[in-house]
Amino acid sequence: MNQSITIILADDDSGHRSLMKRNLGRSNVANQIVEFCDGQEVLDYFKKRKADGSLNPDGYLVLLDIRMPKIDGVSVLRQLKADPALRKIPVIMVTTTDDPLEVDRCHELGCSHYVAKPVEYEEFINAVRNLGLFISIVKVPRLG
Amino acid sequence: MLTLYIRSISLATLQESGSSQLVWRYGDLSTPYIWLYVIADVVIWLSCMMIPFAVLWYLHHRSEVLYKWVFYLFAGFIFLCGVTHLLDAVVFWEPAYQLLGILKVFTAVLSLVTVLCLMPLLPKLLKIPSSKQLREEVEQRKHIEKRLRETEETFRTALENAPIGLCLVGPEGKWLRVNQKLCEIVGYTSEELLKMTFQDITHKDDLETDLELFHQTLRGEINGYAMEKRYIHKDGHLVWIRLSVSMVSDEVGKPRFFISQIEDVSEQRQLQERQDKLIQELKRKGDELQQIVYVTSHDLRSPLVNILGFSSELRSVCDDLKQIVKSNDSNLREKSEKIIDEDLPEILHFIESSAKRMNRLLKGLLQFSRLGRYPLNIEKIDMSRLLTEVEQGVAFNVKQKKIQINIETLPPCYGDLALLSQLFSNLIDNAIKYCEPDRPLVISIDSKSKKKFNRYTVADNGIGIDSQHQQMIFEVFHRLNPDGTDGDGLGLSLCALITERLEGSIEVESEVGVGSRFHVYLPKYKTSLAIREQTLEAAGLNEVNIA
Repeated sequence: MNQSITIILADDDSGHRSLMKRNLGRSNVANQIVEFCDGQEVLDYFKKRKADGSLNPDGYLVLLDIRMPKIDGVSVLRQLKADPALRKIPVIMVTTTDDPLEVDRCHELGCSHYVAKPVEYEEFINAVRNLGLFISIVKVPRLG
Repeated sequence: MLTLYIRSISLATLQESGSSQLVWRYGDLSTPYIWLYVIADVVIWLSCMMIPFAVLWYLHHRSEVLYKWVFYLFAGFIFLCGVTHLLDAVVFWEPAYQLLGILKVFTAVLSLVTVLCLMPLLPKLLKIPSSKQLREEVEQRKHIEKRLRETEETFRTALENAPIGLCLVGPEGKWLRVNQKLCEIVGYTSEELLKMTFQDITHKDDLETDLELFHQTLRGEINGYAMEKRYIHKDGHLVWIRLSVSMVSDEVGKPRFFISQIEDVSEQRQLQERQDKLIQELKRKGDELQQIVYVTSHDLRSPLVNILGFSSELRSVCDDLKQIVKSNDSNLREKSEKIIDEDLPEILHFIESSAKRMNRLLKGLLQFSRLGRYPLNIEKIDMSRLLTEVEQGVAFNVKQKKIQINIETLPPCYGDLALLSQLFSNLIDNAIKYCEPDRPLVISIDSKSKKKFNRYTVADNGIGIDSQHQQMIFEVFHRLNPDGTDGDGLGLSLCALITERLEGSIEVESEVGVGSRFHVYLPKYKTSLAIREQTLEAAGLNEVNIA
């Protein structure tokens, strides 16, 4: 996996964050992981990056929980996809909801993958890996 | 001695003399016959004098008599006849034949005129009803009058005994006629009502609509109208009625009066109200149930994810540990240290805290569902006393944390003592839980009288709530700061549920960093609560909890 990609992990449950981190670590995903416990913090993080010019739109992978305080995951997804500078960032929804309506809504809004909790961590890791690879493949022609 | 001139014309004598001169001669009348003749003439004269007087007297008293002039002609004619008869008697003593002749000519002329006038009049006179006809006419009219009286009596009885309120109302709104049922509906006697207008007893909120329709009808824009409105009963309570009005006009279209039908629909209204309550209640129950299902599937799932995830972590570190122990590595201690000091405590912490959280959530859910089925005991609540008791419940906290609680004198309301205690305990606990650590907490409780409710306000100077979260805080298990406090997110949703069950409501006004004001609206009167309870009881929605 492309080491330059920063994984943004947003979940209000610290246990869930810890589990995801442990599984990523066990699968040798050594990327930098930034943790947030509500949607507002995620948006603030990107806002700050945009403001100081340090934003690399190809350098992130966002893992979003839906039910979060202040701003929920779906709102964060919508705002990311509405922002031209951020819309290319892949987003994986990792959530307790497996309500088909909610899943459809997230896909419509442009999420890259949807994983329901309790997580099948193999599927979760594959999703992260694939998206990470996808980014690096896309990057090759650009570099060339 | 009177010289009697006996007049007699003998045709034989006339023929014999051959002269054109009439010859008067003494006849063969004996004295007694002459007197008979004279007396008869005098009697005829007197009578003929009396008849015109009688006629004139009659005409004087019956001014409406038709063809009066015929009567005058008759009177004159008879008068002249009488005078002629008098002269007939006089000529026995005085031979005034010339005068008699002239008089007879007048009489003849007048009688002829009378006849001539009378002839064309005869058909007309025939048309004047005879006394028999008049009698029949009178009879017939009496009959019609009787029928009319009967009809009127029927109408009056029908109006009076109609099973719905009926009345006639004048164009200004004055009651002209009212029936017994209407009197019963509004509680006034008919005498009292007839001195009033419908405006006097119509509820002011309905009056404008009613008057607008009334005037539209008056102006002829509509034929009549029907509406539901409230009357104020004589003893002050409101009566819902259904009013149907139509207008009666005279021949030229001028409004005469309104006919109004008034039906007491209080009972229907009450049923409707109950039905609405029931639907509302069912909807609420449905929402609650949905929310509980949602909460169970999400909030319970969240700790479950931890328990499952960390259990498998536990297995994985146990395997690691086993391998380390089996390998008999010289770095055994070093390698197992991380697992024992870091991994295991973290894993156990998450499993334990998640299990505890699930337990708390389940307890909360149970409490929530119990509250929904808790049978209410509605009574008048002394709110000042209740708040003082709630304050005593947190006395330890108050003393320890130097909290100031100010309670104003509060008006009573209707509700359930246990639920209201819980409601205000939750609000005060909440204020204490979310206080601003930098300043001493001040909680003030005051009240304001609203239309049907008293508004009790619990105000604090705590951390406050962001405006975008203010509505969500009353939702089941909504919590803004999950790790900051030990709340299970139920406190405020229980408050909302309690106010709803008590026919009240709760709202919040808050500013971050300044404080929050929770307004609780509770009913001043028992009515709506009683209706709600009856409704729920009737629908079997208020059964005592089996759990």
